[in-house]
Amino acid sequence: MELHDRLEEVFRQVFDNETLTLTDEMTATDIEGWDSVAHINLMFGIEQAFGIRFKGNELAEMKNIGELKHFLVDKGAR
Amino acid sequence: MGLPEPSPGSRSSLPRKTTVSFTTQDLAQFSAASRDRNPLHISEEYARTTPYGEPVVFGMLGVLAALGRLSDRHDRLLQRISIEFRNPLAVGIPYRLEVSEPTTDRAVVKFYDATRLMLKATFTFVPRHEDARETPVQEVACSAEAADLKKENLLAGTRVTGAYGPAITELAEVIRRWELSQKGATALHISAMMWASFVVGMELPGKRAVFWRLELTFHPEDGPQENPLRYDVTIQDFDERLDLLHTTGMLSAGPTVCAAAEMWAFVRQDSPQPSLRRLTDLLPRSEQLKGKIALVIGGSRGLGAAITQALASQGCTVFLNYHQCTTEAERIRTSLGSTFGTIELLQGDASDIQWCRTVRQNLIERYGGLDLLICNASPPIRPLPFVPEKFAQFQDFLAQSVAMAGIPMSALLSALAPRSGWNVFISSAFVKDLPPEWPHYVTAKCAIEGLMHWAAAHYPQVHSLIVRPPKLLTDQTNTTVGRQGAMPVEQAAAAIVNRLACPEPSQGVQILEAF
Repeated sequence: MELHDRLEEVFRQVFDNETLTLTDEMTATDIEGWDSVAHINLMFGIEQAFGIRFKGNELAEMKNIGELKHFLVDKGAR
Repeated sequence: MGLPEPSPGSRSSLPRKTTVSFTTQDLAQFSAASRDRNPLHISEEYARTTPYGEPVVFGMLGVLAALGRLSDRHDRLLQRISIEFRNPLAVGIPYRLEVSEPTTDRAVVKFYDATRLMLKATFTFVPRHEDARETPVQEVACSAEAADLKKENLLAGTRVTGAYGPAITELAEVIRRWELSQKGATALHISAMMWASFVVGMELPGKRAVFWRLELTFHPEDGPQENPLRYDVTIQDFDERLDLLHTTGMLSAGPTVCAAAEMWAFVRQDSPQPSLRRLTDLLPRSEQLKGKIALVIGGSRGLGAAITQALASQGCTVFLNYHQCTTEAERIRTSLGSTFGTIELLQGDASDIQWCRTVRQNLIERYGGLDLLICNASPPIRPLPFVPEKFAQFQDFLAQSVAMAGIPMSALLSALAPRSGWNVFISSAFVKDLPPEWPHYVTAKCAIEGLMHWAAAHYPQVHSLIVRPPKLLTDQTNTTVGRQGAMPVEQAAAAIVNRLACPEPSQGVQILEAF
């Protein structure tokens, strides 16, 4: 499965939304329910799915989904 | 024409909807059965010092309630459960359950508070052999006091071992209460689920735990069985970024492993206490407020406690009002030592009209009035989706909030007037930031700000101050994410007291937003 599809699957699980479709321009404010609890679930879900580890608050500092995808590629996400 | 309701026991790809709620008695019964006596679930006094403000339902009790809502499965045995405890469950809230049972071997139950997902439990079953036998479970006396391990004690590789057995009579009551007897789960399965709750809540990490995730796999009962059950749990990792503890463990009956668990729990940090030393660093002593009489409504914890200390450090006589947190109030009073002003404790419910009248009468008799009224009390704040079915809670919160500020003001504005005193309301920066799940909180703060404007117009001798602090580091925000970017309460208290010490305050309502 492509990185984009795997990431979308993580988001769908975390936000409990089977129809959620990610685009590179999307930000936290575009996704309903992206609160502090969801943020931790997302961080954990991405780390488990891609075998990477965020440093500190790295995830919160990314400006959109496109930047997150670049980050995953740079980290050699599995 | 509507779709026909599926008959009980039938399976459908469409989720079945139902509701469930929990009582204090349910929590006591689960606690007695499971031996999980974590005070977050059973002590109101302890729960008040946590971000949740009131006892939280055992996550595993939610899972048992979910299991009880599945169709009967006489020919199946539970093989695995996978749990996500997304948000804490509270007593008395009717949760909406969505039960999906696509096959006899798989079921997913989701708990919602209106639109907010609270818990997700996935159950996997396997066919039950006809000659399968049930292992009897033996009762074991376990520790009644939860361990209190801090993060520095949580080293990878640390092991905890012991014997475990639920209280048999109470276990049977739980099985009856939640109708678990025909759901493919034996007493041993339910005991293993309770064991996971016990391990996290009582052992690793114990008192500070907030259970987050569980993967529990049950093993076939085909080996030699011995009682009592024994467990062996090992710390895999403590994630400093999230304060998240990851453990793995096994529950065995003699040489036979009955269940294997992988558990994740957040480890709550100490309740943040205001520091008098930090306050005095920020707020050098002055003569402006010396000898003033102050009343802080909700002064035992958080910002209220820091304001109490700060006013006393300036030579005020401060009446610290608290409702239930006697230990915390006493701690603030004794923190002062003998060098500064004085703090007197004043226990009572600020939304009680008679209590406020008595306070007014006593202040007038003793001092002839009041110089500073600080309204800081608030009901416990939980996220609240803005949907029609939650509106009763919305109204309750609003009524309580307005009463906790409005009733003291209605009783005491006339005591402030002759002394040109200050009427201070602790609002919040959230009246402008508007966080999505706190509509009730924003509405309550705005309503009381409105009352402040009315009071300023009709009591022109009284100075009015609305304080809108940003997110503060208090018991309420003392979570992994909540602490991030939270301002220390001493900083906010020092700014408030500096404003009150201003020798020539302007007329009308002042708003303090810069700290």
